[in-house]
Amino acid sequence: MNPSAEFIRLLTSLGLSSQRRFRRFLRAIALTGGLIAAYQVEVLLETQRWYASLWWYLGVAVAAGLEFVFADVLADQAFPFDTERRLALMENRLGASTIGQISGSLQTAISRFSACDTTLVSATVHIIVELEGTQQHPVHSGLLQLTNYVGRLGGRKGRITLINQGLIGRCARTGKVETVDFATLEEYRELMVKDFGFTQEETERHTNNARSYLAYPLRRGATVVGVIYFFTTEPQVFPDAIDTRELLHLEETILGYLQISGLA
Amino acid sequence: MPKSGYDAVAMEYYDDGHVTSRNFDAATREALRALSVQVPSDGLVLELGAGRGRAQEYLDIASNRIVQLDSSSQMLAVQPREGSLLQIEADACKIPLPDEQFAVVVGFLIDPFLGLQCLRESRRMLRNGGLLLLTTPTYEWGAPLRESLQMDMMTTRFKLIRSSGEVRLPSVLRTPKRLREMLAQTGFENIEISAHSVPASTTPISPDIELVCTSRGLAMTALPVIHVIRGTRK
Repeated sequence: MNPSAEFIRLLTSLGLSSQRRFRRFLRAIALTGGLIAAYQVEVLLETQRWYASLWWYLGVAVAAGLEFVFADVLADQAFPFDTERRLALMENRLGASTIGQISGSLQTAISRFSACDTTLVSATVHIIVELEGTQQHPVHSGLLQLTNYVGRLGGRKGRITLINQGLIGRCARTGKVETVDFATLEEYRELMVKDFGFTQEETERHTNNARSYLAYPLRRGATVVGVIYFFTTEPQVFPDAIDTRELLHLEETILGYLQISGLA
Repeated sequence: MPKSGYDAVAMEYYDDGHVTSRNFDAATREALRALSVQVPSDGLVLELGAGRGRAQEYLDIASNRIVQLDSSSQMLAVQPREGSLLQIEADACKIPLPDEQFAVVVGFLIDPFLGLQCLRESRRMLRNGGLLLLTTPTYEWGAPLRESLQMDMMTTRFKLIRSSGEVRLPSVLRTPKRLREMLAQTGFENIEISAHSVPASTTPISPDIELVCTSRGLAMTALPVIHVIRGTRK
């Protein structure tokens, strides 16, 4: 079990799924603690018993103040600010209605898949972003998930995948349509580490009951600017269930939105 | 190629103690007899997920026409087994053979790997007008069973009888409508899909079949347990 992943899962289940919400939550706790401490100090002063416990309650008030700093550190660790900033920038440039239209286009494309259960398919769009390499990840490009997943499964928008990881990373590097199928959970776990550059911990954080995946490059000329990503829990769906002309149309539609917003 | 889950069950897969599988065998024999399935009298036959081989037993095909393909090395090692021209350890979705080599592609109980890629590969293996003949457990039987056992719809369980425990294996169930769509999507025509029950004379009957009959209020002979799928390459 990955404690960090569990922590994020717990926060998400509590409705604290963004840095802003988490920080507000921690500050609310700090303010409440500070107010209670202040009230206690006032009560002590009124009852002339301040000399007995004043230092204790002052300590609580100082701790509440320090907690503001602690909240920032914890929030940054849980939700890297850089990811949120980039996503916010993109969302501001695209506008909420355009992001809704992109999701609608994905939904329409899914509804046109053949010979599979379309209710099991999920999809999203990733945009290539520059990253500041770290010692742990000396990679300078990544894919930022632009929209929440359309469909039943999948994580929320804002997740960054390094360019050397996953099917979407492979697609961004090759500029070609990439597909993969896993017959079993064991095969998924093995190949995600062996072929797709994830650690075991990272693999456990992903949706692991999907079986068939397709990544389609969003190309502006020879340059890949993003990736359209589909997956389904049904095995052996991609690429056979898809009419490539539909995907070409989807690519043109999404690129159009990105170009209007200056993102491609 | 990742290790096949069927390696774990290979040595006992054909034991009489696996009653559900033996009931499926009985249903298959009866279905092929009732349908009077005829295979072309010449050309090679590819048997997918062959295990020890069933093409001779079910269809009376000469062993020197049969190529047995299975992703499980243990299933290809099961003895006694039907004769064959060649055995290939490979995934039915990625067959390492050139196109259009076979007059017939057969597969019995291919639910572990039945999907669009497998059908596309089968079509690639067939010469023009070649026959595809497959069997798979029915959705009508498997879906209520898996629901009652609280298992997901893509997995089956195989209780081991030579040792304790059970093995979970991939097993995809499709409705006849979906099967038809899949065959059409991958380039087959003259598609026929028929549903078949366990013959009335069969004993013993699997508790997993009885459970569904009881819950749905059906006689055993009224519950379809296998589909026979036929099509020809366009």
